[in-house]
Amino acid sequence: MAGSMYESQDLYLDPSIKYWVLFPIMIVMFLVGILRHNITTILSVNQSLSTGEVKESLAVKYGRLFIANKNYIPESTFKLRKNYWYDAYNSGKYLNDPNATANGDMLDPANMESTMTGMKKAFANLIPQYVLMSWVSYFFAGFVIIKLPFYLPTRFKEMFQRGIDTQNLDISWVSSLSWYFFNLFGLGGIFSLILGSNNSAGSAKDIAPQMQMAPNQKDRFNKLHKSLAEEVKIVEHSWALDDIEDQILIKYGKKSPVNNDKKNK
Amino acid sequence: MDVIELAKPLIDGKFSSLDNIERYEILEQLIVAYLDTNEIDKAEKYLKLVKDKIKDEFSSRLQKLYGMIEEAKGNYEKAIEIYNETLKVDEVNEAVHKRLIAVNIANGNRTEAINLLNKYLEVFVSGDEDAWLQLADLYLLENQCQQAAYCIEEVILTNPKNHLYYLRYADIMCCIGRYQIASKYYCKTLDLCNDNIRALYGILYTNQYLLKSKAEDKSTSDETIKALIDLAKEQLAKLYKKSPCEEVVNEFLKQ
Repeated sequence: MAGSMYESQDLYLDPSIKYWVLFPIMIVMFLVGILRHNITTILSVNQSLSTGEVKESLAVKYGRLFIANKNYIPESTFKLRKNYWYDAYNSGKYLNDPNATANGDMLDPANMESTMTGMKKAFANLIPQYVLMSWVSYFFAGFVIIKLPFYLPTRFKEMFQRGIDTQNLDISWVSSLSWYFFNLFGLGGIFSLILGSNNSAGSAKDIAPQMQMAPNQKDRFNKLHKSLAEEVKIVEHSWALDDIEDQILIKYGKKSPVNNDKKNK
Repeated sequence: MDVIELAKPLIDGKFSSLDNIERYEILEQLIVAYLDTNEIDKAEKYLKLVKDKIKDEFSSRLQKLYGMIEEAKGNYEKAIEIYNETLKVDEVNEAVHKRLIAVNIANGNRTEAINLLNKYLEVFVSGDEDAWLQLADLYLLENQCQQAAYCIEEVILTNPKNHLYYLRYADIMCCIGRYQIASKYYCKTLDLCNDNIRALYGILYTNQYLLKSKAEDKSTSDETIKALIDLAKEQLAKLYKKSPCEEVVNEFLKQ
């Protein structure tokens, strides 16, 4: 058996397989990709943010920065900010909608719209993929279409000869369904050359994120602000510039660090 | 000028072969560059290309360019009107907000500019260092040092690794007579930027003042203050070595 692996199995492929199976699959997949790119461009709606939404997300960013860099400003102004932001976060001053509840209102038009765009995108991505795959596996079932010029271990049989149930066929022969998968993964590079890197022609990697749609929680920011209020409340100030003079003097060798340590004790 | 030299042949000769998005970015830069060099007719000519492309659709980016042309012509009122109209439709467009503020500054309408900036910063509360710095400048022009100091604190909070912000803060603290804090921030500047002459002069000045002032106004010991003064003098002398004004500086340091 092992010997027969290396004897090249000469299959003679009808050249019309090349013209009627190999090229059509590739060309159709390519065209579908371009078509999909255009459809997604049409379907995608420009979502513009409102002032309130910008405000609430930037307030969160501010809180994080404040907590991280609080030690670089003098204590008096630190306290001023601490009190102000604690109140602001607690009272929801910077929130878009202070009374939002979890999951929001399903009938809220804004909510509906975002759900719809997500679904549109997912469909535009998935439907062509399903159609193409069933087209290939229905019309070109069991075709052996190309031979790779190198040998591969038997484990790749699943990958290269999907749709053909022959045990002894050499691994370097590729079936039509596998050719479909090669195109699915391989055309991404060509699309990004033609349509630009942010295209939505979609290779396999585009499908994955669409599948898990994030739950659209309306009160996400309300929770964030509440937790930031707690964080701001407990944050302590230790001025980074307290002993900066000594640090400078040590840096320029005017004062020895040992001396400084004694002093602190 | 460089922008015009580089962008003009691109737009004129190879417009259609450029990437779809890229070509309008270059075009926008070219138009702004023409406005900078006060060649308004050329800017308008190129703006037509954009207009042809988007036809009647509303675009805040195009509106911004219209406003800028009015600004360049000196019709500040018209420009303000255009920006306000645009903001009604697209309220989160940072660039248009900033243009509106800039017009008011150019117009000499400082109070209005401060109001608008405050309103802008209420929304874009984090991450916009330039806006805070601009507001600090405006407050300083109005002699409102406390408010300016607040703005600089915001910038330091945003980016605590930039020594120039500390320097600005120290200068302002100096202005309002809080020499102890000023000295600390000058030291911090020196810590981050080894040969900052302004910081050295600042340390020299503030500490000379602190040496003379009463004990309750300062938190550092006289010993440290003297050491800092010596350090500043020494470093300044070193930095000015072999420069044309060496003698003047040495003369000053001896005083």
